[in-house]
Amino acid sequence: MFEKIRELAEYRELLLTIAAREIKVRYKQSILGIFWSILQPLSMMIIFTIVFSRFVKVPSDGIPYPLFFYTALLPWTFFATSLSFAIPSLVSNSNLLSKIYFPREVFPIASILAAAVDFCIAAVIFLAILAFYKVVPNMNALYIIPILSIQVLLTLAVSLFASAVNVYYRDVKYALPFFIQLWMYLSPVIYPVSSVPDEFKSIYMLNPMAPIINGYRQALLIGTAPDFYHLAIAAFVTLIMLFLSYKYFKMVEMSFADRI
Amino acid sequence: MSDLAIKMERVSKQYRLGQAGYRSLREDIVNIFKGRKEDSQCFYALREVSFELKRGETVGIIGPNGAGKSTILKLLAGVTIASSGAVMAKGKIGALIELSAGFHPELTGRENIYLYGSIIGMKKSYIDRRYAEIVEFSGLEKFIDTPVKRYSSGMYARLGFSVSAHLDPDILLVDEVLSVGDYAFQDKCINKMRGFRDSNKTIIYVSHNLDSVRKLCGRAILLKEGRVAYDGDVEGAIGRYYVNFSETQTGVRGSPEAVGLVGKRMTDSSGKPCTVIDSGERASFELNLKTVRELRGVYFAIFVRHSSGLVVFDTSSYLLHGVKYDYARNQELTLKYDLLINLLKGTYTIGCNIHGSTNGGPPECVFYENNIFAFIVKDNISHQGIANLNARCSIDLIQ
Repeated sequence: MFEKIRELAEYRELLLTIAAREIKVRYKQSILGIFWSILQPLSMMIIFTIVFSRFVKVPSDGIPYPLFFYTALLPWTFFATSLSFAIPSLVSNSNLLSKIYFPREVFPIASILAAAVDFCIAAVIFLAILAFYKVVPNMNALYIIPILSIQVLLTLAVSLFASAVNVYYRDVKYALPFFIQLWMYLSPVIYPVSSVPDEFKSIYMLNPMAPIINGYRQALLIGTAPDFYHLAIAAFVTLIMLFLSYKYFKMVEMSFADRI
Repeated sequence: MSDLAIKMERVSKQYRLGQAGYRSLREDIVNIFKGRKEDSQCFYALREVSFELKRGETVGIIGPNGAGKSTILKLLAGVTIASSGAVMAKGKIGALIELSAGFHPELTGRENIYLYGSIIGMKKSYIDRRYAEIVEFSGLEKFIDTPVKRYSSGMYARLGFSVSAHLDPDILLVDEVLSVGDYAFQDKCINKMRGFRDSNKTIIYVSHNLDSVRKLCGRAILLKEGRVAYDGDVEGAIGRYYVNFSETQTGVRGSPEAVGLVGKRMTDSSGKPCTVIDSGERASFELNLKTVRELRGVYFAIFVRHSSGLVVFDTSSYLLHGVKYDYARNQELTLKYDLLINLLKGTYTIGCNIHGSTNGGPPECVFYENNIFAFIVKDNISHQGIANLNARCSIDLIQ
């Protein structure tokens, strides 16, 4: 397995080139270009704020709803865009896949990298919103580094597995938007964890994205340390998922060209 | 054995027909419930293929569609694995693939050079160094910052080949890439490939353009239905290709509605069946035909084609006799052409088409068959070209 990872490292230039292609291509021939990666979450935030704090009163643990929501929306969008580009990536590059050899995980990883660029740009808006509400994060904000790392590994685990399965069963492609939507409602993106009934909470927190999203709010907005217990479970689950899905990916990789 | 570059040993590649493409989950679940195993119908793209290439050798692989040519390239490139047998390739492998595969239409020529270059295995620093050369080779300096979707297909191909031509591998896999661009560019490509060959690279060249195989390769492998049908000199492989090809079509094709081909025979001047003939001899070509419908105003044309695709001779019974014929249905007839083979060494095919009208309609082609006969012409003088013009030559000194 380490050998495979070392081989991937040799192809890092190709990885970066393909990620750059995804970014360049995404906004070619659009006037607003890269601003779309700001505009999308920003308009989502405005709409959700109107719906969930004016029409329906969703609690937000005493935090202004736009801030509360954007803190979760930003990493969630990163997660969701990564999946929606990474999972079909093998199939959409089938012409390359059936002609040239390189580690096939290059495609899903490049998609995640491209989504990361959007994420970084949209994060600038987050800083502006923080400034607007005069929120100054304390040292606990640094916890977002390990939390984000777990999230990226989780993204990778899901992408590797689902993109490989998508080669054999195109059903994955159709189920994907629905699946991402469902996952969002099962994660504390538009509502706080405190709204989840206590009797369900232990099951609810087994979803790795739940402690992750909650962790961003705790670290950045409330200024406390995250929920280590549930984060540790999330990290553990993520690592096992990553190990298994990478192993699966490498196992079926050689038959992609025959099946695609 | 150290100068062996490629070795294939009894390599087979099997595809399961039922799942050549993708499946849907539903089909699989249905299969599980029905207790049915996956479709066990198998298709062999390659069967027990063995060959070796020495370092520096340039070998062409020819054969009809579906003979397994591309599968061999895929196995060597490491894109797929053999079902059985051993594939060995020593050294860095570069593949000149179908050019457009690595391009993105929205990106400019410059961006695509980098993209395609890194896909086929170049380092960025290497592309930086060779960039000017690549652009110059393509002749697209003026358009290099234009998105390639605005390129013509010829420009597209030129850019692609220019990038791949600057690859520096030990083994080069070439899949039908030279058949693009205009004549001048094709020539440039062939020269570039010769450059590869002369710098001691091992090349596997897959093409339907037999003339380019002839120009480039010292050896050729003919594949037929996944097996090696011939492995040796290029002329032999090409000759065998044509003979094989026409054998598979005996009496099967033709135009079943109007005229059927029942039998055929090629004989030399002594009346013996043959497929090889000496230059300057006469040969007879006999076709047994049967009309399926009533035909009016019929005449019979034949054409002789060189393996490069050039028609060297084309005539018809109408040109020769100035008469057209009428036939009832189910009429059996024998068409016989007698030709003086003033052709030079090479492989030739003979095709036939028959014109006439059915049911009083307008005249049309009622039978067309491209490769009815294939034959090899031998000659002991090494003239170059196709036709023997019975040259005489005199040299006089002027006092």
